[in-house]
Amino acid sequence: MTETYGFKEVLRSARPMLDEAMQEYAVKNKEFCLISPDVSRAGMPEFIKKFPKQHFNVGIAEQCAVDFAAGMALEGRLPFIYGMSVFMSMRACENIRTNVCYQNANVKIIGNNTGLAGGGGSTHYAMEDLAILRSFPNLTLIVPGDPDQALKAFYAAIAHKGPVYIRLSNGRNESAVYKSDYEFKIGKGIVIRKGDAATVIACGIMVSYALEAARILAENEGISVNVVDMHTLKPLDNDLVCEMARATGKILTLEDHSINGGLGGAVAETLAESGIPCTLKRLGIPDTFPGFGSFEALQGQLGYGIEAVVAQVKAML
Amino acid sequence: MGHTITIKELEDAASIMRENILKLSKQTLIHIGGDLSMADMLTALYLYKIRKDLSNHRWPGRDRFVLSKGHGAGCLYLAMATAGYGRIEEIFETYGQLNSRYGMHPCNKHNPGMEVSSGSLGHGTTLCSGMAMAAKIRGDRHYVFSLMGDGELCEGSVWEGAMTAAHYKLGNLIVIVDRNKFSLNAGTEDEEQGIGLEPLAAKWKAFGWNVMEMDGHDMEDIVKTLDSIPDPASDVPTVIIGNTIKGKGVSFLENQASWHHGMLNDEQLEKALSEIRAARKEKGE
Repeated sequence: MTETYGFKEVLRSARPMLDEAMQEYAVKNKEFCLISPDVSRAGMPEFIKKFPKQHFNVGIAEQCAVDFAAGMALEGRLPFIYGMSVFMSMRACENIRTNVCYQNANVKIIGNNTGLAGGGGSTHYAMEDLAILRSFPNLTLIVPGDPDQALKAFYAAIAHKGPVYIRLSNGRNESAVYKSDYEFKIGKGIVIRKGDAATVIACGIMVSYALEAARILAENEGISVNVVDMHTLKPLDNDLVCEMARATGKILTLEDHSINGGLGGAVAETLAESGIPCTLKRLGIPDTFPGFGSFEALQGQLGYGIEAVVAQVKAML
Repeated sequence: MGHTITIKELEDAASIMRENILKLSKQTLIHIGGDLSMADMLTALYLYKIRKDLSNHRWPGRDRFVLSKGHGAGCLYLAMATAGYGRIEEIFETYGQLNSRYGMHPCNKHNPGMEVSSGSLGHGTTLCSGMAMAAKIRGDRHYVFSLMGDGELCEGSVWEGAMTAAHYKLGNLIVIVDRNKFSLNAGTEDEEQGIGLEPLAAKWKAFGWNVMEMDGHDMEDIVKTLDSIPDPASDVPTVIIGNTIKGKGVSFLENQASWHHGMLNDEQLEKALSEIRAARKEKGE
């Protein structure tokens, strides 16, 4: 079983880690380039300083960033776009669908400031990106479970021929989950904690919250649950979902995204079609436009924090 | 480049293309108005200007062409087939049918030699900027051509791409605007329903582009203009405003927003073909 850190025991930042990885990779592969609608300085400041010829800032113009990347990819280059997910997935929605996915252009999109973790209010909360992008053919969706996994996702995206969307959280000071190394494979979820009473399937930043809830359930209530890091939303690991449904008959999904159409929606579809008897509870951002507050305060108010997970698991039993 | 085709031959080819556009619009719904306005320019591009290798569609030295106004697919298919990318008969035999490579908007998955699947408007400058940038980085000498409709210039993304192309000095990017002065609803300068594109040349200039204009139905002017575009290594992107007439060549189709798309009946087809043939005969004499 994978060794994990305690909740917020170690904090890491995906942005500078990716910045460094890009610098390393750009030396090896001259086709690599970073395209951004004017936010790369906030994400990869060292890369853009050191690799000006492999960096393209198209200005605050997400549609152009996506199409420009598609054009580059069709000509054999390896473009990564770094942008804010709320604008990438909605302002440039059709550009991703038609000029990246339809053309099967080898474009990689790294979206940050997702869910409520990034702050900023509802103009800036990317709560719908997974629901929207999950419906695009050819697109692979990865939601890294911790900052280190964002690096694994980066290299997996390079190895994968075709469009990939990597959904960072805020990309700064987030819980490291994995203490020991492990194999990361697109489309293969990871059982990071084993139990028998229920299964919590989480993605992204919520993996660390799921693990902490599982620890509290075990230590305070004597309830053991599986915790799954479902880092790939598309293609979803249907086999693992079914395996967990058969084993525990109770699944709770946890995501920093609308409960409609994201991880919860994907798991619900798989379960419904599987015919396996299983109770499902989706936790995430409810069907509302949230206001301001710290991530934990908002989670508390909206019902998808650690306490909510503990309470919902107990309610399912 | 050893172009041996004459103006007369290009004119004849364009005339035959017009006939085929009309025949196609008898059998299926196509964007007949815009197809007829772009026919001369696309003929010149495919039969005269664009460098290609029919035995190797991925030849790196080929000029790229992207039909930003993807609804002009009928005209594109005919131009490509005439240039050797397929058979004109296949267009007529299969258009719109299951598993056909020919439908209302171009799809590159089934059409070797077609660079991009298009149809969603406003992506010519953005996507082609990426293609032109990649070529510039590699030091390639080919052009990236994109044919845009004038109506699609209302899409904001066009101007995002225009700024980007100018910023990155993409002199290898040549946009041709089919300025037929109509979109689906109305004339572009219609006081009530047109959003108003003029002063169009000044707008492109203000965005940092080299602006050229031509008569998009005068083959001599088209060829002369295409011959005088800047070298691909230049540092300013070029837009050619091709002044055209929507529905060109058929009296009852010309300048009619209602013929943006449509189908001809037998009688209309006969009348339209006779007009095209009469014009060709007159020109030939």
